[in-house]
Amino acid sequence: MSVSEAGAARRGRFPWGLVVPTAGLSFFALVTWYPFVFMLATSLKTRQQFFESYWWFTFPFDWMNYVEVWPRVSRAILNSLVYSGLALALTLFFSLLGGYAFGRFNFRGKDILFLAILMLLMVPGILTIVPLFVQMRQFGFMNTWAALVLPWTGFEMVFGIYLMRLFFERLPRELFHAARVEGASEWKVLLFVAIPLALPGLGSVAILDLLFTWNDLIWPIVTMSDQNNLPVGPTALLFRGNENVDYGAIFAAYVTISAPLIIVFSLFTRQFLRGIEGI
Amino acid sequence: MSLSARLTAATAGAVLLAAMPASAQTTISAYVNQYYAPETNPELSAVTEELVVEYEAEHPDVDIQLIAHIADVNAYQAWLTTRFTAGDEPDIAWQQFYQRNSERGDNWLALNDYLEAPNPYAVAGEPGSERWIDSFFENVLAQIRAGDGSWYQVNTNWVETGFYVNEDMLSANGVDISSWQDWGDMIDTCRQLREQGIQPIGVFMTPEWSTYQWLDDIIVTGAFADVMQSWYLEKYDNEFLPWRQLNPEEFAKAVKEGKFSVEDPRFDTYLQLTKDMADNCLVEGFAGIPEYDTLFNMFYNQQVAMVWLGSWSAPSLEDVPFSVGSGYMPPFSKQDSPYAIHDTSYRVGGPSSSGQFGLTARTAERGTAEIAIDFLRFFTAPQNYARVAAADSGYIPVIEGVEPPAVATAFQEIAQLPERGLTDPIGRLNQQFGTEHNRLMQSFMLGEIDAAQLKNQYQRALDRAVEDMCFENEAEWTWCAE
Amino acid sequence: MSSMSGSVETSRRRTRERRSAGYYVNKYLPWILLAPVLVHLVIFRYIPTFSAFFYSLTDWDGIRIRRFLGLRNFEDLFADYVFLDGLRNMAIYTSLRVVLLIAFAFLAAEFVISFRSAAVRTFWKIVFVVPMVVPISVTYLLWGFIFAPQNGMLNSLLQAIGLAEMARPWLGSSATALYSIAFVQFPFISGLAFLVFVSALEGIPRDVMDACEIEGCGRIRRVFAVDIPMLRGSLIFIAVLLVLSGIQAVEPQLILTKGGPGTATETPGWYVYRAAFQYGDFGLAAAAGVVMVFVGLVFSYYTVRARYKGAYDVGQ
Repeated sequence: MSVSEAGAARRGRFPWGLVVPTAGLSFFALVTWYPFVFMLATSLKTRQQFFESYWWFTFPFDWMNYVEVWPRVSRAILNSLVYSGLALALTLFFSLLGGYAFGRFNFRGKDILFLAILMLLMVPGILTIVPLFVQMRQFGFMNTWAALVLPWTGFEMVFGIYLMRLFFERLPRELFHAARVEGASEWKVLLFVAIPLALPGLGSVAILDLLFTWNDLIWPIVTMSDQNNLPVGPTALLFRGNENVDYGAIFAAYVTISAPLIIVFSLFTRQFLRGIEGI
Repeated sequence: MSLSARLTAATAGAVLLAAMPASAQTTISAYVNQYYAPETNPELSAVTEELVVEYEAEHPDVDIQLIAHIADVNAYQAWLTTRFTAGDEPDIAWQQFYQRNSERGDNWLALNDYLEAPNPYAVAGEPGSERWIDSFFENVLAQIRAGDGSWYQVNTNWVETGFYVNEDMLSANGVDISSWQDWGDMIDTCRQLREQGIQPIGVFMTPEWSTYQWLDDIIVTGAFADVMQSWYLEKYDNEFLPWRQLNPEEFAKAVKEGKFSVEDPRFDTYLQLTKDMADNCLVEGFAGIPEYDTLFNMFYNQQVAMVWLGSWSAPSLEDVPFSVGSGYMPPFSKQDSPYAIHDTSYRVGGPSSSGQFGLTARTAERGTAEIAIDFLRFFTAPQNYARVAAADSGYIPVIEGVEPPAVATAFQEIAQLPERGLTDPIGRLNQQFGTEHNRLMQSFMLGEIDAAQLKNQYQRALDRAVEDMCFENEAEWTWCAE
Repeated sequence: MSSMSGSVETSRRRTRERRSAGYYVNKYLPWILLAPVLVHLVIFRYIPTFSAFFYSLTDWDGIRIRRFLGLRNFEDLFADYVFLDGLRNMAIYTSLRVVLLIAFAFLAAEFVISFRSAAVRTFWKIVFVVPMVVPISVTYLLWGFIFAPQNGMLNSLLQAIGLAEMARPWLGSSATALYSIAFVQFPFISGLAFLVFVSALEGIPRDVMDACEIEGCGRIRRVFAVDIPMLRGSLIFIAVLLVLSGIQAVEPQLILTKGGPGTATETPGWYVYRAAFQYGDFGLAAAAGVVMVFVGLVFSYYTVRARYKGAYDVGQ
């Protein structure tokens, strides 16, 4: 309890200091969780049940939706684990390098270069989709992991570098000085001091990157012509037919593809939260 | 960089595509729209696959690769557009004919010569066995013909639209829509339902494709019917079709010559009828319904008495918890529109359907056009196409010698009506015009702009579209320069 | 790295040797580190971006350049009322999103840090992190149902609580459509902003907060007197991100309104999408995209600069 809460309690007053935040957060949580509940409820409905009532669960549950989508979705999850995993590794690597270079050193042209990189945040993805596609084809990347992983990395590392720069700037300089004084080379400092310290920062970059690559839609549709190679995002759309939109199946697909993310999030939330502190 | 990247990409590609057969076969990639949608329509897809297997058995050197259906329209357009720009499109692809006809660039192959040649898969003596073009319906061919006079697609099926009504709800309120004599009766019914607190007609309208367009087609035809035939161009004349739908070139010329203009009193009638419809009949919020399922949902939950939907919706209306009837728009009396010349309404159906296939320009470059066209002929041969059509209820085949499925028979009466004189706004001139039309009409129908403002903007949109189209079709549209 | 110069006097020569080797490493190390980053960005970001800039000066159908137009595409854009309305809508939508998202995330963050227990705080953070996995398209689909005119959740809710006269077709009228799409994702907490604010507030020394409250400044006054000034850096950072995502958003149009009614929800981002994928007019699309880049640049220039001055303050 904060000081004011303690004071209030002592004077026997109603503990507004606890009730208001709890009530407020509970309300927010309810509304925030509803889309998730909606997704779950819809995934268990037949088309008719969906039209009868779409706000809440209906009974009996129609588990067949999951059975129907599983073969296709499980394959897409495997694909996505490869694509998102590779993109994640590359993004973290580049963010670390860039963030460290900008956050730890002063060099000529640093500010201009940093601004030039940040400028990329202003470029809407939709503007470059066609030129980038033409390029992918020239490289012979179509329908391979490279067509997704390399452009994704190019997009996500910009923010990653920015985040990691802030992160390294916040680390006390003494940590690095001490290592240098003890005779460690710059490389060793990077490997044995900077990287371990950077883990929380990388954790936040990782989560943001995963959210992006896991749900990306148009770019994979455009570059992956073989549907067996599709990642999870566009796969959910495959269950959308022309006349009979089978919402149950679509949402079962959405729930299934969200599951790996939930696992990752629950494992790494603490890392993520610590990394955010740098901002 | 590029070499090593290519190597890594190749390795990864090899890993990911380990199952790909390596042989000297000619591969034809075909996007056949919903005819191959293994996830959502396995029955129909199985029939298509069967056909492919049979074809490959006859032609062991050909490998037909079907590309699965991308149902989301926006996603499909992005998919196809980017493929065109990179020269990586399939040999056979689906496209809305009106979009194809307003596309820029030379993405598609003109089929005229192929259409004149016989279809070897047609049974001797049957339509198509002498000239492939005989397999297809005249009115469809007239409608899908491009600005340069060529055909870039073969259209294999058709959709119809009309009212689905909640009989229980209507009879509870003493309404019988079969008693409608004219437009005025319909508006009266709408008013009556409104007074009971019932939303009369469910449609939705956005600046893009939406169901309200169909009503707009009927209204604009009713307002300009007496002059439309004078806009026909001789080169498109068809002795069997004294009344037919105008194609973009004819409409563009009418605009250019001021025959279709906002100054025409007919345009005022058009606006008046539209406003009548919007104020009295259309479901409240029609401009804020993003898609078709919200509408369906309203009908299902009895929040709207009638919906205007397509023949393809019939199968999904079977499990609705009330009795569903059907109906159609009544004719315009002289009082409704002094320019009406028919004693019936107009048929809103069309080939903007699931079977619109063309050959991409790239297939010619690859040297695979002959094989691709051969497969397309095989697919559209009546005995073969009948098999997919039978598994595809709600779509009406328009290939000579293919029987329509049972659902389509409900629309047989509608099929007797004269065709709408103008197609959907997005197909009248070019896509830009269609979007602009919908945008302006949306504002007008909601009362956000008045008739004068609308006319001003509308004429500009017309002129601009015609100017653009004249630029695109400079060589063929000789009247543009006059 | 002047601070590296050793005060350790033993064996001068060895120090100098090492320093001279280290000198080159230090001088070039940032560039060595940045080299792969820059190569990747040049290939996958700068080349496509500058191609798009170039294409904005042409009539490009995606395959070949049909005409070189100079600034014609830009003239066309600024003569098109749809694009101009779009710019206005983008400004309104983006400002609303920035204000709403920051206000709610900040409020929730203040609520969270009013608990002393770390476990309780972590609980609430996790509560708001997990729903981040819901795909954005699902969110918009759901909001479409919420705003639906007849049986939408919002209208049903208003009727249930006796406010039936407030029910309206939210997306079906120019008066409300833009504000409605800005309201999607209410209460906007599941996202980066909330977590950044909680962390930043947790970074404020507790005694600073307590001191203020003991001096009788009250919780609300403390928020304005202490918390907001201390969070300046985080607030600007989040604001910039929200501005960029506001400018670039197309999901509302793609899934909910298609830009209507009329031009009520048109935006330049949607304009690009339509010009490219529906009209095949890639030159015009690129030009509209370039305008977006400049709007983003102009807006972000000062804020980013302010922010990264702020970062130096913190870092030193």
